[in-house]
Amino acid sequence: MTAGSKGGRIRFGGPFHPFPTLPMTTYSETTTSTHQSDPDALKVLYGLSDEDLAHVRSAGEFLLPDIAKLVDQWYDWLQLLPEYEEFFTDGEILRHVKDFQLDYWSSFFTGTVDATYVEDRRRVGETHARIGLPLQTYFAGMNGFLTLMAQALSAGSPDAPHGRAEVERALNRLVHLDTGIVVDAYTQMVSHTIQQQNRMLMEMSTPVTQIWRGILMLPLVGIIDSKRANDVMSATLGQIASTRARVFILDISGVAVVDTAVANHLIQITQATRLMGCESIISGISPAIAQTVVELGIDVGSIRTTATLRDALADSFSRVGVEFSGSH
Amino acid sequence: MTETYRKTPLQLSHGCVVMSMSPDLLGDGLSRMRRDLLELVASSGARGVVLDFSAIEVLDATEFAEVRGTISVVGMMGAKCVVSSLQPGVVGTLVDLGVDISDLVGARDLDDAFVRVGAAARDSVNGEPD
Repeated sequence: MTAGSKGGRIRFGGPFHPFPTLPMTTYSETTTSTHQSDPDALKVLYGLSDEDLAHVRSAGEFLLPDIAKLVDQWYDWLQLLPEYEEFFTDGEILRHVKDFQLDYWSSFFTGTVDATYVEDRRRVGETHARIGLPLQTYFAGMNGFLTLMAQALSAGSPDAPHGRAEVERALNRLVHLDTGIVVDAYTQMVSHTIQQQNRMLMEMSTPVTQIWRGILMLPLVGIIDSKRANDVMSATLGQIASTRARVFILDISGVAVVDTAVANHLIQITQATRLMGCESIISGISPAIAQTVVELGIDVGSIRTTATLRDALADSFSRVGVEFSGSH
Repeated sequence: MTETYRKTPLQLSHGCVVMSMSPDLLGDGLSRMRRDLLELVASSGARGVVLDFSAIEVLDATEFAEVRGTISVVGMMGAKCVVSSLQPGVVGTLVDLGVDISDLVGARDLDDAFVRVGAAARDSVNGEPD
């Protein structure tokens, strides 16, 4: 009979996920919902009909020949913004961006929303996120260009397409669709970066080190929440199992605040290490922390605590049987 | 009876009874294991018991309660009980789920367990581990 043959019980531990109660999805990639990159779904989402696309094409026939002029006008407007100084001062870059913008509008006025179209817009969003262009500026820019196009249409040329209101509405919809794709790609890029930083932070925040044979040490710095405490515990227990350490020094002199919750996390960690046959010493207890703990009425029980790291080290060395000549 | 003894992994070493917990023997097997263990403790007069968990990667709530019960019964018979070589994942989740483990005595490995079981065992251990 195997232990796994019974259902409906809480399992402790497991070979693959040592901490099954932790949210394992914290660092998983952002999921893409269906209408974020599917052209047809996007058209439905923004109410963009084939008729609208035809309007866009007819507007394009009128606007595209003079589109370079519009782009120049738009850059005149952009120069007034403080962001211009930051992103577009280099003449080489400016020319490149202008060329890119001309391509962008030619593709816009083809009135074909397909996979390539969506992919191009996603790339625009990713680029903006990479260079750190504020979304606010992007919105204002799109709005500005929309205004310029409307002005050009209303200039009253005899070639202007009929039914200006419908044409403007169609342009509006397609511009908004573009904006939606760009913003979506932008935010995904940003949240991806944050996830990477989180992961890095987690790895940096639990540097459990073997400082002597049988002695592990972890200097804790910053704020301890339950997630961090879990990270600390899993890193510590793993190291204890692999190094078979006898003593674990947890130095909390860099911990900002010790309240009931933090104290409980620390007590749990010491209990867990003890169950693996490794005694914990909590060092770096400042007078303020000692007072808080006593005032809060937290029972630290049999946990060994020391004021300084030096005392903890001396204590651990004597526990693992290392003798020093002279005083320490 | 002899047959059940053969099935339960029990050994006498350093004056202690060592029981290797195996995944197969958890669950319903535990009550039989406990009976065999207690009989050996009584007949050998061992003062210490080591429960070796090195083969256990998963422990469920009922199983843990059984282990707990075994430890207290061993205590009632006047022997000290030490749990040895618990896996990090098992310990982590026990603490995560708020199980009180403060009264259990844990050991890194068998050497450490023999030391912790106490004077009765230590007398027959040749030197300290490591």
